[in-house]
Amino acid sequence: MKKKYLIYPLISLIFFVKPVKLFLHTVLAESVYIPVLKAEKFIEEVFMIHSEYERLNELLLMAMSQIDEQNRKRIFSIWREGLDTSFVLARALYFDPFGLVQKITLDKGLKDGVKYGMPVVYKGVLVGKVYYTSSNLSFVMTMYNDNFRVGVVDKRTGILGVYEGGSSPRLLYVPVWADVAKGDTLVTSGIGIIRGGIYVGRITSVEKTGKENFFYKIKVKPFWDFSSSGLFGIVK
Amino acid sequence: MKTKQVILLILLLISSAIRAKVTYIWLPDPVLVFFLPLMLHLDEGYIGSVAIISGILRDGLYIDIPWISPLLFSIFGVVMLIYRSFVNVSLILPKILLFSVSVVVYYTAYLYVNGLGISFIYFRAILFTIIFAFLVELWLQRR
Repeated sequence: MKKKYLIYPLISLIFFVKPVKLFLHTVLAESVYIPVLKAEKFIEEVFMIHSEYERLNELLLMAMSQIDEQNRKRIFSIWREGLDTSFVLARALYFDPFGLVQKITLDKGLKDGVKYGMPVVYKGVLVGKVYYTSSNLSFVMTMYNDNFRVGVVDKRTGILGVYEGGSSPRLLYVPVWADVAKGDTLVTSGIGIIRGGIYVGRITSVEKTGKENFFYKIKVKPFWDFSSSGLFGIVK
Repeated sequence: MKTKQVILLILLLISSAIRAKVTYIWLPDPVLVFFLPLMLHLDEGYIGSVAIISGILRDGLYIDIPWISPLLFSIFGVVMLIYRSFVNVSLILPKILLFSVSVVVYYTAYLYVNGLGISFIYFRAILFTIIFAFLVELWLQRR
């Protein structure tokens, strides 16, 4: 065995001496360990950011759904507060046609103070407007009726337009420079006989129809779900 | 030095620096996994310095504990130099024997010095260290 081999274990004994350890530790910490620790922290942060991003996304979705629900409840509660004075509650007697309802016959009429042009709401969202009344009945033109029109406003930007009913409801007269986007909420503008602030629907698509065309082609999905029924409110 | 030895040497130094901070008792010790096969093939001129440098990197983060790795690694280096001159290390059994003894000795000494004491929970780490060291040795030997 060569004696020179023994020199390495002997050298390594030096590293038990405190000042040598301290010196080496300082050098190594600055040159090696701090970059390693930084790399470790960076990797941890990347994982943390990823999980935080997912968590925030979930929170955002939850918050959005809660806000949506709260808005509906708030609007409904506003209507309910003035129930005796500004509302007439009515039951639907007939849907015409069944399916995509265009007309509804309600069991309240002139005797109950229902007049032509009054808006009808269901759970806080617009259903349509009264277009004819008899002494005990009223007839409602729904939002899916081809002849239904109401002035609306984009709740986010305040852009005015006209909601036109039908099987594929549209928003008319919104110029191409206006700030409207998919997902915007529409409420009645209050211009005309229908009072403002009633929830109408949500924009589902915004398209430019051509270079010469002055207005957007906007599709709207009404909030009112015609598949459910209950007490309708006729707003006085 | 051959290319594989250089790769292993780089891996050894990197893993030594990382192992100083990142410690999982149930995982195999990557420093030993790279160190033991490398010692069987490295030229004798490099063995001492590689053993001491990797040992310092392995223990250098903590100043309060005794730095036992440089001493143990250099002893292992010397032992392997002697061992490979007397025994045919291309055979499987001598290699496994050498790795097993080295790993057990290292773990026992390291845990004892750190005041942890040898325990059954380290059995898996010891076993996998031996297995992985053997696999690295097979890779190193393959042409």
